[in-house]
Amino acid sequence: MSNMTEVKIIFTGTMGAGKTTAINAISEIKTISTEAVATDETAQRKETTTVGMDYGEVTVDEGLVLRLYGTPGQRRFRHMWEILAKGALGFVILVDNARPSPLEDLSIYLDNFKNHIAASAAVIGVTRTDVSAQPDIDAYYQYLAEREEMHPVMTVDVRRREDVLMLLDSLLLSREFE
Amino acid sequence: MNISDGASPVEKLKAAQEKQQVEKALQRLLDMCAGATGALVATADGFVVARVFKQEIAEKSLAAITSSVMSLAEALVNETGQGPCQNLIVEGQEGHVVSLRINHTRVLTAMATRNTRLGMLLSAAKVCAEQLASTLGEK
Ligand SMILES: Nc1nc2c(ncn2[C@@H]2O[C@H](COP(=O)(O)OP(=O)(O)O)[C@@H](O)[C@H]2O)c(=O)[nH]1
Ligand SMILES: [Mg+2]
Repeated sequence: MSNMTEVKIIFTGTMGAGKTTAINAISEIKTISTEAVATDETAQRKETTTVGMDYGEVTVDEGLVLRLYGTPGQRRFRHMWEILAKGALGFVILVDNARPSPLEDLSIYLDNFKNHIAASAAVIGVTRTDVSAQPDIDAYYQYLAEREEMHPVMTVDVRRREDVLMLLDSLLLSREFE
Repeated sequence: MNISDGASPVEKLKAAQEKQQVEKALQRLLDMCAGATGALVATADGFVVARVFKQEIAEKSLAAITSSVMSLAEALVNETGQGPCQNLIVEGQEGHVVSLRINHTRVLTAMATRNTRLGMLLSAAKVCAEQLASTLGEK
C-alpha cells in the first residue's frame, strides 16, 4: 500500500442527476449508501433519495485510488455538502438536462463549492440528454465563459461505467494530483 | 419548506393530523424526562413533521441533520456488522442528543441537559418512538 495515493472526489448536483448511479457504476468496493424514502417532489422521479452520502472507491491508475463521495442533492442537506467537501481534490458536478433550468442548477453547485473548486478542480457531466438535448454543450461553455470559469463539460450516461470513468479522466487531467 | 407544502388538500389534512398526534407524543416525552429540553420528529428524508422545544431552535436544519446522521449511523452499524441500528447517542459537553427510527419514514431526535441521566432520556425517547410507531403505522 505504500505507493498508493488516495484522492477524495466529490459527486454533486441536483436530486436525480445521477450521483448515486455514477458511483455505483464504477466502484470496486460495495458502495455505502444512505437512501431514504422520498416525501418531496423527488418521489415523482424515484422512490428514494440520498440523505447522508454515497461512498465508493475506484483505482484509475496503478497507485491512484479515487475515494468517491456522493452528496445529497437538495439544498436542505447543505450541512453534508460542507462536511463532505473538506479535503476534496476534485468535484464532479452532474447536471440533469431534463430539469427546467439546468444552467441555474449548475450555478447552485458552482456557487456553493466556489472556494473548494478554486483550490482544486471540477468537471461538469450533463446527464439525461436522451430526455432533453437542450441546453447543448455550447450553451454550457458559454455560460461558464460568462462566469469566467473554465471546466470541462461533457454529456454522459452515468449508468455506463466508461462514461463515468471518462469524466474522472478529464477531471484528473485538469489537475496534477501528485 | 414543510412536508405539507405543495400537497393536495387530503394530504395537508393528513399532515396536520399527524403533526397533532406527534406533538402530543413529544410533549409526553418532555413530561416523562424532566431534563429533556426538546424533541422533534422528521421524515427520513429530512423534513419537519412536528417539534416541541423549550427554547428556539433551527427546526428545519435539525430535521435535515437528523435524517443525515441517522442514515450514517445506520451505515456505520451495518458496515461493522453490528446492525440493525437501534438508536444513536451523542454526548455533547452541554447535553445529550439521541435519535431513533420510528418507522421506515420517520425519525425522532430528543435532547436533554447534561445533568440529565442519559438512560432517562433514552428510555423516554424509546417509549415515545414505540407509541408513535403504533399510532402512525409502519409507513
Ligand atoms: N433516461 C436517462 N436516465 C438516466 C441517465 N442517467 C441516469 N439516469 C437515471 O436517473 C436516475 C438517477 O438517480 P440517482 O443516481 O439516484 O440520482 P442522484 O439523486 O443524483 O443520486 C436513475 O434512475 C438513473 O437510472 C440518462 O442518461 N438517461
Ligand atoms: Mg443520490
